[in-house]
Amino acid sequence: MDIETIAARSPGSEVYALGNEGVARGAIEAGVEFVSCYPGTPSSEISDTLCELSGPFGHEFEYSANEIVATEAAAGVALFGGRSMVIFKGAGFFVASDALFHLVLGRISGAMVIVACDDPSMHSSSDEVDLRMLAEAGSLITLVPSNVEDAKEMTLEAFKLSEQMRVPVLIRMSTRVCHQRGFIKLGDVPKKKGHMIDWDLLKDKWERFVPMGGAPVRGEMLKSIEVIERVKSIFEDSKFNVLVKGESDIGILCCGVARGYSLEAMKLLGIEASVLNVGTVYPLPEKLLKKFIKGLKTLIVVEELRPYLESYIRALGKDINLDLQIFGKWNGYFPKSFEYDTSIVISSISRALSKNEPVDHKEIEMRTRLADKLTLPRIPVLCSGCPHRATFYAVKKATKGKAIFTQDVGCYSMGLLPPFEVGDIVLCMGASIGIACGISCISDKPIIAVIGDSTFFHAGLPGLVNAVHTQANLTLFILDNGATGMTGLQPHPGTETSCGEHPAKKIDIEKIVKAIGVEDVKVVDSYNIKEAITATKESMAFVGVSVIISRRSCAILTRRERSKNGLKIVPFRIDPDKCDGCWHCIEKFGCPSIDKNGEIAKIDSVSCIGCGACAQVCPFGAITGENVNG
Amino acid sequence: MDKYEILIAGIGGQGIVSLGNILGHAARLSGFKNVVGGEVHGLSQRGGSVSSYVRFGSNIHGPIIPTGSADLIIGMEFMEGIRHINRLSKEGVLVLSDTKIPSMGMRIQDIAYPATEDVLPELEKVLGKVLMFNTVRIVDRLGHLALTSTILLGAIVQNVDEFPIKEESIRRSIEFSFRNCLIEKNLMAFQEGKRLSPFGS
Repeated sequence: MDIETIAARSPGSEVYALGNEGVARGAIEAGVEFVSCYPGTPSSEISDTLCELSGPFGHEFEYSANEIVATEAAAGVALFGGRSMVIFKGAGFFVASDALFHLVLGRISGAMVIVACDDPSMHSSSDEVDLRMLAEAGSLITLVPSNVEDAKEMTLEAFKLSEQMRVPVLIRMSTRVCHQRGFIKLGDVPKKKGHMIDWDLLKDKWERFVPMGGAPVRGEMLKSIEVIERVKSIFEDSKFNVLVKGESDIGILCCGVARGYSLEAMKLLGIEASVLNVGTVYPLPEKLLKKFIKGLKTLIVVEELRPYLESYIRALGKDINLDLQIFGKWNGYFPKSFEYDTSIVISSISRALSKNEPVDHKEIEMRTRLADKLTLPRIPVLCSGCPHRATFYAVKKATKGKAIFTQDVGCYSMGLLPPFEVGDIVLCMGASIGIACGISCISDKPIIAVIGDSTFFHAGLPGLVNAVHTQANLTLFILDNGATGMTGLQPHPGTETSCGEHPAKKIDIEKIVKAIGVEDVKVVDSYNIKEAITATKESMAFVGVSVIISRRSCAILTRRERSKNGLKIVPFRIDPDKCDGCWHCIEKFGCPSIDKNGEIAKIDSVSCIGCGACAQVCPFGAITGENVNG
Repeated sequence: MDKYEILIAGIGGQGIVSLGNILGHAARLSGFKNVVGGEVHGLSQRGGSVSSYVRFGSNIHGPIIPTGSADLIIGMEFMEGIRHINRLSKEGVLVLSDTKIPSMGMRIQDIAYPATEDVLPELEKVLGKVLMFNTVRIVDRLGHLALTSTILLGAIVQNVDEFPIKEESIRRSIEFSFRNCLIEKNLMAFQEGKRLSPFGS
């Protein structure tokens, strides 16, 4: 489903949409007025779609500096009576949680929907936290979709519920729901928007968002518990808890994308069972669950990540059905981490019910072994002409690899892979600087921290303030490529435009860094390797905090810009008379545009963007061409 | 035919996701009401592996093709197609393009790309059917690597037995899926693909 389709198609038509697009369309059909986000896979298509749709549908959209600011902005809108949505990936939820967990104690006037996307198997994340557990810990009303249709319908429902209960509602997605496709029917888009409150007439402002601890907040807590109880009774009859009755005393309880796998597994195993999928995950529909397990002899719980439903049902079972045999993660029948699929569910249910699996494991194992033998892993690489590559080459040259490299989250994390191996530690957004502060306290080794522009605005600023204030000794590289590259080139506070082509105030990194009190600040052109080597050496010799801003537009942006402006890209070439076949350009620089061609190297004229960095690394001066920007 | 599952594999930039969409729409146009797709995006834009699933028919609910279950694998890149053969059913068909893109790791470590004549016999010993098509030649002529997908679709329609999606549905889906200027090119690529004969079993 492309943007034109979602915008232009009339209600009633069917589109083949991503789960993420389902959420976006749900928000449109709910009359969303404000959307904020910090991009992160697997959530990015929700925010990118809503950014593009802000034109045709007229809602406000912002790529915020980070997830907590995004949440606060969305809260501001909802407090004022508007309908807002905030979107991020699972790790973004952690960043936003300070705001989120306090928000549930206040009362909004409009509606606020939070969309957060877990990533089982960590396809594009480095944590496998189950947000359902965090939602429960923070009393956050939560819906969990199983498929694309759910994603859209639950988003609509979340807005209604939020407006009705005056508290935020969470849609917890997971990768395989985000990136699942299915046909959904488009619904009507309302003309009427949320009501704006009259701030001056508002009597109970101070109760709405609780400013202090003690008695006032305790009062709000009691009200919040009441709200949860009311929502619970609504959820008892929710259409999002789907029961498919079977003629047997076996029950399957499932959640999220595991619903599909459970249904498929049941059929393939030839099992008759009642299947209850729980879509209203917090608060759980207690009565419905009690009723479900009452007549059962066997219950199988199928849910990815943590045993959230299982723990609840085990506690509940003791009162309702003492003889109930429960199979899940607690007794080792289901894996405790990574995503599920139908094969895993078949295998687990077979073991639980002592059935033979309808699967030829030997055959599959043989094929797995053959595939392993015939293929090699394909690890992602920095793009052709990526300015980060030139920076890493220079850093490696200047340091001879002898420094502690603290890295951050972005495309440049790949600097820790061969051929550069510039990266000892990657923890979380902004941690390159915080960790370097700590190491600087107990070690005399040179420390180089590497952070991207978007990540610097997101979480690097407090780290740098801390480093300067505590008089740490480190060199910080800020790789300024003018975009949040990894997640799809979204804008950030350091870019001149925001969503779409809307003008925005560009924040100058150099000025900020100087204002914080960094005395040694240099700006280099990422493509100028010699300049970067000199700068690195000088900054490392400086005692205290040094910052090198390595600046050059993301290669994908450069290509896009040049083609938009009708400028040709002139690829670089290998001079066959000078190329010695030393492979330095391949083995030590590793640009995907350079490959071997017999005894000498060749440059792929289609993918080369003409950055000319490789010409500077060739020991024989065999690479020639005209630089992109002269 | 009560269900059919297609796995598309390749690398970022090859149009894996678009091919999934074309097939999803085409399956629907061919009369399958229940169509579910799944994509792994991840770091696709950085030259990583990408795969996309299209599943339709009865008892299809989840987005992932179970191991031993796919009816067809479309390998838009030679090695990427082979990577997923444990998802192929016993009788399933492996369709491979001769597009070979060595990974950066292979180049840095100087590892040669596996030779077709070494790999095909091993696959043929184990799999139900392997069909490899020379798409590179047509791509070179038509000028876009992304056309590999529609070339292979043409080859599949002509060479894969009991392929349940109708040719007419694919044509309509192509017309629906691409911008105006690309429709004709893709239809041409589809037509060229139909004329290809496999050099596998």
